[in-house]
Amino acid sequence: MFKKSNTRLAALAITATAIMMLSIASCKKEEKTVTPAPPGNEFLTTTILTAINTAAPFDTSIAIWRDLTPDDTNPPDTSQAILNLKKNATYKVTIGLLDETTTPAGDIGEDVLARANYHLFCFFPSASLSPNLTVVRTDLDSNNPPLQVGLKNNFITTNVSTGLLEVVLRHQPNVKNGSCDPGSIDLDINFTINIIN
Amino acid sequence: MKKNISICLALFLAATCIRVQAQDKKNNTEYSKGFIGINGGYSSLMGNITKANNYLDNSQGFAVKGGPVLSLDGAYFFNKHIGAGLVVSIANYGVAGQNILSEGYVEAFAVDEVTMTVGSYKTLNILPAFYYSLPMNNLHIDFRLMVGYSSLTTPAIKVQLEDATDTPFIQNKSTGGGLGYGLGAGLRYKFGRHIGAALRIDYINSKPNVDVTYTNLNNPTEGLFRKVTKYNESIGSVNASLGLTFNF
Repeated sequence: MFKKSNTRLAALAITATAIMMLSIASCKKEEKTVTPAPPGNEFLTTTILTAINTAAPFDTSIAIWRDLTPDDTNPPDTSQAILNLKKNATYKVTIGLLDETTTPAGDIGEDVLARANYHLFCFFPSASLSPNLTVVRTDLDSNNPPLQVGLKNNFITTNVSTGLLEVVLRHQPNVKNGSCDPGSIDLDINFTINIIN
Repeated sequence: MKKNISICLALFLAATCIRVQAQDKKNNTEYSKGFIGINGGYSSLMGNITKANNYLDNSQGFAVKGGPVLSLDGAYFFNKHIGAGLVVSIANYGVAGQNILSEGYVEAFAVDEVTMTVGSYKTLNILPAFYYSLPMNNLHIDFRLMVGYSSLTTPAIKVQLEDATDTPFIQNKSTGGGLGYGLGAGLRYKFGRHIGAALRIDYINSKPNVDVTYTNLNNPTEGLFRKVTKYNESIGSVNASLGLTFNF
């Protein structure tokens, strides 16, 4: 009698231990890690638009937007942020991005190109410029299907006019879909565009 | 080398089996017909799966080198020495080098912050075993040779990028299996007619084939992003455990 109940007790103890240990082994909490970007990140201080007339390659124009104090100590230098384009023409326009807080200047454009799958340039001409300037992005990333980037573009002009062109670089990690909406803003600056005779 | 050791051990056990069967017939010795046991302990993991220093090296598993292991085992003995049984073990390992992983995601996506949530690795072994036991009164010294199925489950890794917190991507929890085999040794002590304790050490090796999938991963940049689509590395583990046995 004693032996029988002892055996049952032992069997019960083993079963209970098994259930308890199985619970311990199978339940493990998730772990969370929050990691900020390492210090010493590069700054995007300088944006250069280089425009070359496709019909007349000697017709080039360069516009430079520069802000050497990214902490907003001083306002940006927009004195050279002016692009003069001839009417009824098509220009190949490339965008260069630099960090001029270092010597030599860092090429941020290379970083954007390396991560083209997460970046998109968006162009917004002002009301006065809008009917006479069309921007077409000509470069593609390695997304499937490929999506436009905007480091290389065609600027197509029609009539004489003047206005501002807002250039926005969107950072769209894992959410790029071809539109300007997703993501955050890496760059948002204005260039003056003169379409002349 | 391992193969040679296994062959020698098998031959030794077979020869002993024949000799012992003859002796048993002669002596008609009473012996425990078998046992069922539950064991818990520590599993030490070996191989590339525990390497965790290079974000872009897909052979590195980023698993912690040790974790808890639970096993159920049992055997039926044909005579005093020889038996056949089954060993089922499950082990759990955390994720190592989490900072290296999350820093890699920060760099790959050029974001200011990444929040990464990880689960854990799990291994499951279902291994039929060949037992050789040396009884010494209430103490048994067991040796076992195991061959069967082993599986690995890789953890889910959820990554929320600073600029896309609403749409995290997930490296899904994935499971794959393959052949598993191992060797073990242990001590079994009978306290009474049925109850006993066991101390065991097993070495188990496997090479499970795990296909890893992702959810909401949108064309990351090759060469910058760690994209593991298949994990097929040799995994070794040494499981040391203590347990209770029910002898019959």
